[in-house]
Amino acid sequence: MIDIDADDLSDSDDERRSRASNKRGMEPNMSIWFTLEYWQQLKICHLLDPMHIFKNVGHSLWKHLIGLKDTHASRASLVEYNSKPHLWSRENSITGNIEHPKAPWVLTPEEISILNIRIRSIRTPTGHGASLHNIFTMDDTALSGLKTHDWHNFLKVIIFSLKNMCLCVYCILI
Amino acid sequence: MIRRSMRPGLETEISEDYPLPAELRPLIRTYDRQAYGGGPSSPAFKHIDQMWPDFKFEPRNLKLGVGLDGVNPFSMQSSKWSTWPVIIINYNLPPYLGIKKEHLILSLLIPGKRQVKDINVYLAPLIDDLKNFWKGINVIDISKPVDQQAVTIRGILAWTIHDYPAYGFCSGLGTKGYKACPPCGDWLGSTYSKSLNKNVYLRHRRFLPEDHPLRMKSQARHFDGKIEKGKTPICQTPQDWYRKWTI
Repeated sequence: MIDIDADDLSDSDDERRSRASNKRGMEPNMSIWFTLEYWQQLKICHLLDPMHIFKNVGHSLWKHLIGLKDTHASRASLVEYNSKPHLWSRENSITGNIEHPKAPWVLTPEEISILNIRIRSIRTPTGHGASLHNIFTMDDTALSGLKTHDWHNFLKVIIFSLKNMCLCVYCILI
Repeated sequence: MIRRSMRPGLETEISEDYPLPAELRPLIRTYDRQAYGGGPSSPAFKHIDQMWPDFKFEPRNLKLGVGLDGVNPFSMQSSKWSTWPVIIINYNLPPYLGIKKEHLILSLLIPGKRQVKDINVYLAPLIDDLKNFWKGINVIDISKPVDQQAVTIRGILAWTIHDYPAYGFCSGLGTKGYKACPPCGDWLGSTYSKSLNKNVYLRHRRFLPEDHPLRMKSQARHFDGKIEKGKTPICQTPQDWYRKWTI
């Protein structure tokens, strides 16, 4: 029987196919990038796409601001983690209903309409975010038609240019 | 931070890669770079230049990035089919050229009925090419005189770019569940929340300085009702990940 080392073989398709599942010194779950000899010495191996994350964070933040995230489960989680006792849901002694104290960061309809007016009046230097003037729907409760770049503007420009919005974001974070 | 222009000729967003009129040049921060090529001013790129000076002194040596993510071709909103393009980005070109579709290389297209289980099998041919490219390949530079045309150029893969689920998929590191953050590793403070039915990642106050007021008892009611005494997690390096796999 002839013993042939795999490295001596030419670079055939079969070998390529079997190389990734080859377990010589390699766990099956290990990333194949580490077979590049310089990969371990790099400073950053994997980058995340920030625009994607801006979009998701913007969605989530907006849901917090208009109170969509203010559910029974989220109030129950405050009790579970012994956090923010002044916001725990409590029973009204007169009517017997369960009440949620108002969270300080949830915008009232008047505040949302003010925000709508402010966003319409924003002019950016190079005209980026030009579609921001009609992002509100008719009833002023939802943002619509925002593309990924608009969410980026929303987080980077709008929130930090409005004082009250800054306070709301601060309330969420603290 | 120097903002990069995606369009040539937009002087308000000055790019260091765009050849500027001489009178505008003093306005920009002085920056040591090659006449052409060299990539963005990222610390990771400077690290590469430092580790392997080949890539600093020979502008024809390529620095590459790989981007991969699942897409829906022809706007089909269907979960029955998954398509994963693997795209190579050339960082030697200035940013307003390098991200245009003429200069992006579609190296692999991974189709499947559902998301493939082991992407390593599909990436193996690409890795082989990158290994050869690291050793050096012979090419011809037609901009030079005939007797100097033959050159050997090398290429380095600087990083991969993806979103968070694809991060776990292509790196083999966990991005879900209790150990969802590869740089934190075992240090990540994660708990299962029964009321929310999912894992939550609290203990973000560990990243504050140790004598910060928000760590103290008086502010604890805003967080989880406890004093935070934990130290800031040490960032896991690629060597740490490798050690975990090999031991």
